[in-house]
Amino acid sequence: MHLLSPWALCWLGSLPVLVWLWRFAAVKRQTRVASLVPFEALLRRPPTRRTRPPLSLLFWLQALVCALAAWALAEPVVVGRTTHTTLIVLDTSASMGAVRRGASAFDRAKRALTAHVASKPLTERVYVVTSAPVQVLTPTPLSDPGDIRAAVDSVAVSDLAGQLSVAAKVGEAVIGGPPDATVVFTDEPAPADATRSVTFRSVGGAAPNVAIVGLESDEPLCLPADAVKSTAASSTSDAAPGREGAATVRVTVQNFAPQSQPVTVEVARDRRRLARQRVTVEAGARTLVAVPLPRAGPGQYDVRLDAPHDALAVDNHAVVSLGGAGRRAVRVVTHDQEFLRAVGRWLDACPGLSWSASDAGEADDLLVTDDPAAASRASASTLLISDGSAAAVPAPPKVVYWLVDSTHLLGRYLEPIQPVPMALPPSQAPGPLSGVPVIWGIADGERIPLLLAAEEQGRRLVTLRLDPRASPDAVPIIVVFFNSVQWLARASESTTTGTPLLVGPLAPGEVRVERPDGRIILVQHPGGVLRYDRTDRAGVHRIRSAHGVIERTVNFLDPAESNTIAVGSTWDAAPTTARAAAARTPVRQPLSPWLIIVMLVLVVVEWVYYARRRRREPR
Amino acid sequence: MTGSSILGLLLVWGLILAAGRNAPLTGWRRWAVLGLRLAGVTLLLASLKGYSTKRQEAQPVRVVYLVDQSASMAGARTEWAARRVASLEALRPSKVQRSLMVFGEEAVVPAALGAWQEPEQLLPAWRAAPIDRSGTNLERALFATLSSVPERAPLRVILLSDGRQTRGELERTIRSLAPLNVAVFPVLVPPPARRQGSAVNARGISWEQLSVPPVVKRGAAVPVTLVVRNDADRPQGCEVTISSAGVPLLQRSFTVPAGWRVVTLSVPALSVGTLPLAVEVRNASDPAPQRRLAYVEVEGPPRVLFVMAHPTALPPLAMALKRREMELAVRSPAELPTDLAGWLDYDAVVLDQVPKSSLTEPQVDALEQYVRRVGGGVVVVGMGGELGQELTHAAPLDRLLPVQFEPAGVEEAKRRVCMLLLIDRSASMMGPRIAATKRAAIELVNQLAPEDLVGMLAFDTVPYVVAEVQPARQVSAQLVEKLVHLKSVGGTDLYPALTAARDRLALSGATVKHAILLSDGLTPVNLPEYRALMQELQAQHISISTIGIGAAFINAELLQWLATGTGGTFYQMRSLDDLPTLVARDTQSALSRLPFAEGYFQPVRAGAATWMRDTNDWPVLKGYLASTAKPGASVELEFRDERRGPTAHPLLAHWLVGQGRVAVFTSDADRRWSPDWVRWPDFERAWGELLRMSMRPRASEELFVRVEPRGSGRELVLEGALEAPSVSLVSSEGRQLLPLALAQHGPFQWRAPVDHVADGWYRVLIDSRIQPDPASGSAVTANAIATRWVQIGSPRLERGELPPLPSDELLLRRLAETTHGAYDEPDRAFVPPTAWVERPWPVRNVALPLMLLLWLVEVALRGRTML
Repeated sequence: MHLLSPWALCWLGSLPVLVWLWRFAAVKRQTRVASLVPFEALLRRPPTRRTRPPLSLLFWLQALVCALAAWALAEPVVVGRTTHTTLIVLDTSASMGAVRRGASAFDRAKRALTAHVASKPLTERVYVVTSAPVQVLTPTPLSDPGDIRAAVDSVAVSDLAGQLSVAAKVGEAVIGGPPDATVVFTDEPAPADATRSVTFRSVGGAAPNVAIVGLESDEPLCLPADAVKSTAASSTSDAAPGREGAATVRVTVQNFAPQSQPVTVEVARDRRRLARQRVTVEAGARTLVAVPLPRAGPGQYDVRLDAPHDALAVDNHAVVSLGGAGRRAVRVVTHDQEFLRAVGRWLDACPGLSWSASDAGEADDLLVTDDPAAASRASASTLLISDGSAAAVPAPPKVVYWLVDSTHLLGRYLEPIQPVPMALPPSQAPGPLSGVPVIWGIADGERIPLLLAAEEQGRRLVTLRLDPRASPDAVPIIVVFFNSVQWLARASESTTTGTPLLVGPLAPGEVRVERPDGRIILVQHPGGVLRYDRTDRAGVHRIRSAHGVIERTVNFLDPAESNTIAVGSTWDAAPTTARAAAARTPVRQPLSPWLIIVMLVLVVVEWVYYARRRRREPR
Repeated sequence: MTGSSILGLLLVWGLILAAGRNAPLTGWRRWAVLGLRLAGVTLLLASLKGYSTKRQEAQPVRVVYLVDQSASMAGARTEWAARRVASLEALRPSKVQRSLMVFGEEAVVPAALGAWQEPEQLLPAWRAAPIDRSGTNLERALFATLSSVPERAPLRVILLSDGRQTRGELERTIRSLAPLNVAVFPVLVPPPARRQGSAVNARGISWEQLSVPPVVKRGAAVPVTLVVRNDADRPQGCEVTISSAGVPLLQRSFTVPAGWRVVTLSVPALSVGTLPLAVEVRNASDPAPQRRLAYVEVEGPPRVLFVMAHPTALPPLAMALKRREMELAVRSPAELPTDLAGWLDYDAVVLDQVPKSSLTEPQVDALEQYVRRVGGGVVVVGMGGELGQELTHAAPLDRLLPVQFEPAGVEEAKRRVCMLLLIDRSASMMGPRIAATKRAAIELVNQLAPEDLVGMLAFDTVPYVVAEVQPARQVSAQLVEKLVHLKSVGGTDLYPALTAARDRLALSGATVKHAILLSDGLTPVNLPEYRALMQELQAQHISISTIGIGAAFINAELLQWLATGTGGTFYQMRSLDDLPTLVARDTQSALSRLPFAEGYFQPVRAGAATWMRDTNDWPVLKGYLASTAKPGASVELEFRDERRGPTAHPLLAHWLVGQGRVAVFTSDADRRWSPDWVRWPDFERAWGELLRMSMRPRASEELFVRVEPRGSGRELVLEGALEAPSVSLVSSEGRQLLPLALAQHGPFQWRAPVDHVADGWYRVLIDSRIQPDPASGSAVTANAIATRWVQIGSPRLERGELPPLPSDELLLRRLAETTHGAYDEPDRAFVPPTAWVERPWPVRNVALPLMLLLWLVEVALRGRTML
């Protein structure tokens, strides 16, 4: 046995106090007699002070309680042999919120879990891990069903997609090896290839649902030419961003139900309904619902969905941002007219961009330049196009093989390896290059970084090491130019649950994050871009700082989770950890609960004994 | 508190109160002692329930050095890592607790670590650590660090590795680490530097990258591109073997100069479907090959079902489509399927000159399903069979056609020429003259187009039909035979022959009506009759050329009068050999009188036409089926004739039927009505384009499939001109099928999360799956519109851990960003040395001492009543 808090044994000092109290009580005791005559001799003698307390059963009961209390405070644990270890994976993904017959899958899962642990032996240790987000509810194992229940009661369904396998892996890592048994409480069906030691308790069932699965909130960076013409024709000014004009919100709705359903899609702003569309969506079908808004200024719009058979509520609401009928501003800073001409041709091909060759502009304008000094001074996101050669005349193009990192957004639409005619930049850049290479160029046996992407303090920088004057019509170069502009403008990024929020840059200090569920998170921010990862709730997040209030919307758009009619399995029967990374921690069985139970019994017994004992004695 | 807890508390209280009635205390002591006892019991129960509060406490940060000790890190890299650890140890604040783990396939704490600030003392323990070094499993190693920390203290991991994992799927689990309070600070262990002048590195050639196109056409070459790096200072030999399904396709040896090189090899794509490629690279100085897998989808040309009434020789249209790289299957109407499944193999159906009545109701039903539900295309070219019947009787196919044919709706250009050869059979035609006449007749026919009309009459006193007026192509073969049987008899009367010729020429309706008379002219002449005949010939615009042929005397005056009066020519033949030449010359002369394109139909582009906009000049046609476009049909080409008023007849019309398209070309694509089209240089291009516009969409031409990062996860992105696509993933072994939930994020973009998908190669099936037909109750599954292969996760090398392997710096950077660590700044792991941690603080720690105090107070209040 070990004591985790041995200093608490100082509470054994209550025992001498108890003894003193008994002695004091004994000194003060009075005895009534009929006559003092037989005791006159005694009365003439000074009374003898008792030196020992009148110990009785009552005393020993009380002393035992004191000793037990001190012992319980010392947190005794018994280190014993390994007992049965069970890992419980509780699915907290969004689909668990689907309501069927009045109860959600998560409620049913909790009830099933509670019933499961209630029947387990007390020597069995239980770890509980949730799947969305992956969270270890019980860093130290629990044996008491009440404790386990309390831990589970503190958890709610999130608005995230979950991965049961990852939760199981994390659980195994916490345990330090594979558990004796794994029990998964989920709405997913048991996979066919689950191992014998894994038990699936599926609490789900087919529940019809209608969901918003897509929302076209990102206005394209480059508009089709005829769309721009029609937009220009319908608005009074096509150059001023933020002007009100007609807009259309396109909502993709999917009916996860065996029957067709009438669906109503409403768009509102500031709780005022602006437009409504009613459609009938066939069973299992997905439909794009276009909701025209006659007058739509820039801002955020609530999109809500309503259908008669709808099991899941989280996917019935989304927020879309409309930027108005404006265009993104780009500034081109250069002293080279050929550079300006080449880049200008590219920018002219995209009517969604409004560019100018000017040093002055708004702070958030995108900057395109061939001057590294200008790029380093700029506070806005910048595209630096410079091969570092500073040649007055571009070198003749030659074939350079591009090695493209297709996993980066800058590498979109490019082949992983493709030949490109371009002027090869010097292998050594004139200055330090910042960023991660996304495209390397191979020529003459050398590998040279051609495209680098960097992000710091919320500002993005793309360095494109080539001379646009040499090959202005090379398609890969044009593609990478527009990929860069799109990445710098963050044109294709929208936040959904599970993706981090990037806000800022903010000044150092306390930042208050007001979540959609009402919780407030205080963060001591060191300055720069605030990255908030806990986007497990859909809705508007308000970030309050010295800068003011910034609102960011996180939407739940996950057709896999919304599909409550045919839930798929995310269980991946990958091999578990084969060997423990460290010795498994010894099993510690806390004795405090037992001691407290004994104390409780003793307290009651002592009280009853005290009361009954006195009653037997004549008054 | 739960109900049971409240119940338990009340029960205990009840016991206390019930027993307390007999307590030997009175007054305020009694109530005080009772209250203290109840409070004590309550505190005990609260302690038993395990209630707790959260308390922030500063805890020393724990740092774990996680050192990659897989085989690829042997030698100089391990020494570098040891020096790095030692240098970091010199910076570490004393408050920061640290430990060290080494990993390969799994992670362990090495035993007997020496002084941490002495690299030489670290290395032996690392090298002796009992780990499997044949793989690098970053995922398992990072999870192992969790279990190395007894409490859920904030953990910072300084990871020294090249990032190149060969096992595990860190990308999938990476975002699970941040909520577990684990921050990773990766440090990229650099590859060993090239040494100048050194001997050839035993593993000098490293294979950095492999690329193949996602899709190629059958028969094309598949470019396989490799990026290799030669670390030595001199060229090295290298051998590449490309095989498919165990069969070597290509083996090539080449020399790689020092530095980086891109090598492209080609293998043929011979059959449609997936072409798995296994690429092996052998270094001359390294016997073990490096091996990687790649997949290419080989697509065939569009398949067209070509339906002909009598499939014999392929007509010009079919030949043109074959030359436009379309695969044709030729069938007769009777062979057409009656269920949908039979049509699914085809991207389009062409009904070429097929009688619409030859398609039965079940066939048309199946065809309609093919168009409506699958998006198949149907092109109807002309009409076969008995046009009178076909145009006046309804047929099941009518409901699919975008035009309504008019009952008397054959518009045919007038015949160009009708030539008659009148041969005098009188006694003067004998011997060599017959032979000359035969040659002349042949010459005559050769001058004519196959559709020109020609006839031959012989006469003596009455006319005899040698060959009735008919198209030249039909008469030529018979003519010679019939002339052989021409016998010479006595007597000549020209008048009946001329009237017979007149009648036939008048009925032909040709633009040029001409007769060539071979006679000696020795015939009785009734002048009034001949004058009347002359007038009729002139009124009918019938011309007669005469060639005097006879043994001795000919009536040249009559012959000349006949020719001159009708606009013909009189020829005085000098010798029999001149006869064919004269006939040919006269025929040419008659043909020269034809007006250009008179009687032909000129197609023009309709006002709202959108197809084939780069074609402005269309060849003329000689005939078409008059029709009217139905409401909703789009007309691309039409005929306009002011004589008919503003209504135009469509030549090419089409409309959508469900997801597919039906087009009708109301002329033929053959020589009868479209000889100029057939001879037109753009004939193939135009028909190929027409088919492609009508056929089922082949989305593969412009289709992008890729895997993109999405926050900390990843998603499959599909871009293309698709309609409501659905996507499934099939594992490379073909065993696992994973449907993905696509959501539309733009006009041509769909996305689906693939976080739950294990790393590896997958075949992406892009499908327009047909819903079960409620009427029939049977489900029909269509073939996928397109197939692509994608690789999810990092490419896995088939070889293992032998260096040199390229580093995966991006993975390390992603790891740092996702876990709130820092890349290549390991000293930041020590700052700050403590961290505030929220810990549960049990209520018991207050409840029990309070209970104890209350206990003592109670005992004191009881006093001597306890004795």
